[in-house]
Amino acid sequence: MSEPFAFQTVVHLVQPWGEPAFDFAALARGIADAPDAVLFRHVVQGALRHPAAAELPPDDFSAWAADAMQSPETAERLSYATQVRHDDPATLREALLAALESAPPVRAHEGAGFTFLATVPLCVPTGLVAATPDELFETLASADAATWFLHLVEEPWLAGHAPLLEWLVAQEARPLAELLRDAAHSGLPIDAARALARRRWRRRQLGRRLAEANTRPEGARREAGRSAVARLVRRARGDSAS
Amino acid sequence: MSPAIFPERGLSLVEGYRTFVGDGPMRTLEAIAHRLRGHRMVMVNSTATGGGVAEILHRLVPLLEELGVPTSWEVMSGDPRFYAITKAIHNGLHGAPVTLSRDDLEYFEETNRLAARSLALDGDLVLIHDPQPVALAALRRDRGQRWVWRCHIDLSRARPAVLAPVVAHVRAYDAAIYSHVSFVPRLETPAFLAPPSIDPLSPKNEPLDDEAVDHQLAPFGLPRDLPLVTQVSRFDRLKDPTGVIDAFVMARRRERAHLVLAGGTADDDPEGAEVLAETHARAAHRDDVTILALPPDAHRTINALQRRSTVVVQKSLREGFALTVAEALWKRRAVVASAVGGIPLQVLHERTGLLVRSVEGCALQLGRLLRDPGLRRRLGAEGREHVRDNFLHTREARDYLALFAHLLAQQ
Repeated sequence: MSEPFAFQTVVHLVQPWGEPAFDFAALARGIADAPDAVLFRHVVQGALRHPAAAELPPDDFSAWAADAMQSPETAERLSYATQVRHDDPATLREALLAALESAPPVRAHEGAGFTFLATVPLCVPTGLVAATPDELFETLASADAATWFLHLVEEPWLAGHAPLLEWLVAQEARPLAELLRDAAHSGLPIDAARALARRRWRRRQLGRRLAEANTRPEGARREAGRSAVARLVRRARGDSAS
Repeated sequence: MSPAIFPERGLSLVEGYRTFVGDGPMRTLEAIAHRLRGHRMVMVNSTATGGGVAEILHRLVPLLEELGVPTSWEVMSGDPRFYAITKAIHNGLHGAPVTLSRDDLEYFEETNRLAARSLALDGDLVLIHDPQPVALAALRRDRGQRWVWRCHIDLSRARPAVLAPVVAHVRAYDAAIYSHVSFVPRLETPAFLAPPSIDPLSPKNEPLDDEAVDHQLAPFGLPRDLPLVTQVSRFDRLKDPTGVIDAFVMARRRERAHLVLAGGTADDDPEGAEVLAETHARAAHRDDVTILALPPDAHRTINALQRRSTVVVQKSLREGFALTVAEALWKRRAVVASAVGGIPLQVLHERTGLLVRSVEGCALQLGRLLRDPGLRRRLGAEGREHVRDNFLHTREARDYLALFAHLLAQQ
């Protein structure tokens, strides 16, 4: 029996970094020199600032290119880089720099420069632990958005490996690990990604539950059926009331 | 210079905030507080009542206590001369042309020296708010303590002659916290960013039902059959109240609505009285504009006004952070605001509100919102979530605790 998985949560302190950029050339120099924590702040961490959004806002680089620099073409290229080529800091940096190669030589107004920010993560134990893959899923689905983000987005991106997914694989729960990884990479805001994972997980559990139910005595099966119908009715009433 | 006394509370603050913020963020806050168990925090500012900092501390101190981080609040006091000097410093940091003599600066430091002897600053985490007590770190710092300076002021236009002596004292701190990146001065002391926050439990933001809103607004005779467009701001040229009237008049060519401009009476601000007069003059002969000069404690009236409004405007020409925007978003209002200062952090264009850069832009977006209830609902709903995640007191408490945990880990 392996050790239970201990959940952590994360808070990001934010610090200014370097000099503000007033044109795309300076933005490119900043991106080339910035530590990974800066790219993380401007591209990846936005998901945690808007966990319940209907749709994720654009990353900070493309938002600046569109709004302050009025360069929609550069904004599109940057946006493509951050959404499609963001797997790790090195790939992202390279993609951002390539997107900026053909950017126009325009200059931002005074006060509208791009200020680079860096995150300083503070990870803290939540006190929540999971002994089985099922427990892990239930806990992760109901934990705060920062816990989901830390274990499924931040650790893989910044550290290059995901202890939570590795733990699941060690528990012979590779399908669940893949389901969680896919949900986290869906490009959806955190709450929507979690809902997606829950739906997929329940669907997968259905087959297992049916198989288990078939091994139960007739009386227990009937009782379970009655409870399920009662739950359905309650849910329908609740839905119509709201 | 005795410790401030808090009003009695019946409710658990942690549970009160949990109902608004949700369980996840509160558990994060509890987890960080748990990490700081065994440490004691001291907050220091220069007033127990009045002003935004005292308002925040009245909530944060008991909240941190409930979370298991023993926290005391020390109030530094001084005589009228000290307050005249700190007022001049405050104005100079905001960019006003003030003169500080060498005598003034010596008196400022002498008052800090007296405070350093009398205040109980023996916690291991000391958070000093704003410039008045800024000299305390150099005077009282003990080994093993962590000192952080929390600057609530917009320093982006600060007069160099006023900023320099303040910044010289900040060098004695382990870190400094600013509300916005544009407020950060050039300084070796590590700078961190923490936007200001609003309190969902305060009279300005607490839930009000329709009856309570009616009761609060009854004295003003506002029309009930027209959508209200409101700007809540002191009467200051940088808040552009006359620009709001111009934009409203342009939008009124196509839409029916009533404009309310509500702000402080500005008794102690001669320029405020001038701007109020200009605003009245611009709205002369218009029966679709109401100008309300409210007393400083009219929190529930402002709450009711924001809740009754169909659109809330913040058409500032220059802004520090503009928490009135967060207040409106928290109440699920549709917001049109200028893309200046800290406003774009709160108003994400087309997601939580609409950003504008001109009178014409403001008129266009006002008209658009007045015509489209679906858009108002969508922006309002997302705005509420955005404030819940980023601009409530619990997030500010979390940032302070996280910074101290970070500084302690660096030992």
